[in-house]
Amino acid sequence: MSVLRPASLIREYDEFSSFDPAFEWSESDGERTNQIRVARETGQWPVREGATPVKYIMRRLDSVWREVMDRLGLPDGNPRHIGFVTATALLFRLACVRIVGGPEGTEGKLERAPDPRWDGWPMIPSSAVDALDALDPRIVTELGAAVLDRVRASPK
Amino acid sequence: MSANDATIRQTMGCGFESPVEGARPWTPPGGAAGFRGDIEHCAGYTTRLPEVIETARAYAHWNKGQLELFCGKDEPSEDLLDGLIALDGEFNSVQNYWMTPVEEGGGRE
Repeated sequence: MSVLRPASLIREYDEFSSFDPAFEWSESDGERTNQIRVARETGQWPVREGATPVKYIMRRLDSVWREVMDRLGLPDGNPRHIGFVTATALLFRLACVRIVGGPEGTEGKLERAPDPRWDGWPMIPSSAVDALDALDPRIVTELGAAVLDRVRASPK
Repeated sequence: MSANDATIRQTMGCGFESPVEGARPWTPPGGAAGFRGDIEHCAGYTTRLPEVIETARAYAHWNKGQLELFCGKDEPSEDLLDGLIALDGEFNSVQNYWMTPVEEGGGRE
């Protein structure tokens, strides 16, 4: 595996999905959950011999995450309300910079452009999410939730 | 810590192990001027976390007014600044603890 850039508060860092078959996890659910937490916190991922996981290059979000959470917390009837799955996909698109080794449609530098559907926030195209969903629909939700965990875990 | 078996490490709040009920991670000396926080994992785990190491390195620059030099082309994030303030507060608490006599709740003999 190439050099991993650990989680950073100012620089781009490498993120991975635990659903990637390149990783070797415990059979026990509880132990597996803990292994994933440790891997994400320390950057020590248990890669299978000879396997290469898909790498998601991410950047730390600024306060935009609070606006996403505000929309998540709006009442169901409010036209600006979004659900958890949409919120995590949005956080993923906002934080992701590039995908290395991903499925067709995610290669190369993903253009981050303002999305008029989402208040003009700059983010990667929704087609990248569609390509990852086709691979495994759990990936984007997991990575979006990880983005949120990182900003929420910081001292406030 | 790593020389101990998994059960012992769990009860000491080792972050590499699955959490268990009633785990008691070691904390710095408490008292009037000492450490007052609750911690989830042992210090050995926490100080290995990349974001903690990065904040400690940034602190060495920040307290000399050279954070821009550390960040280079990147902007210091809100999270980094929060971390620096938290670290500075704890650093001052430690200094205060060692400057305060034992009979007043500090660590100075």
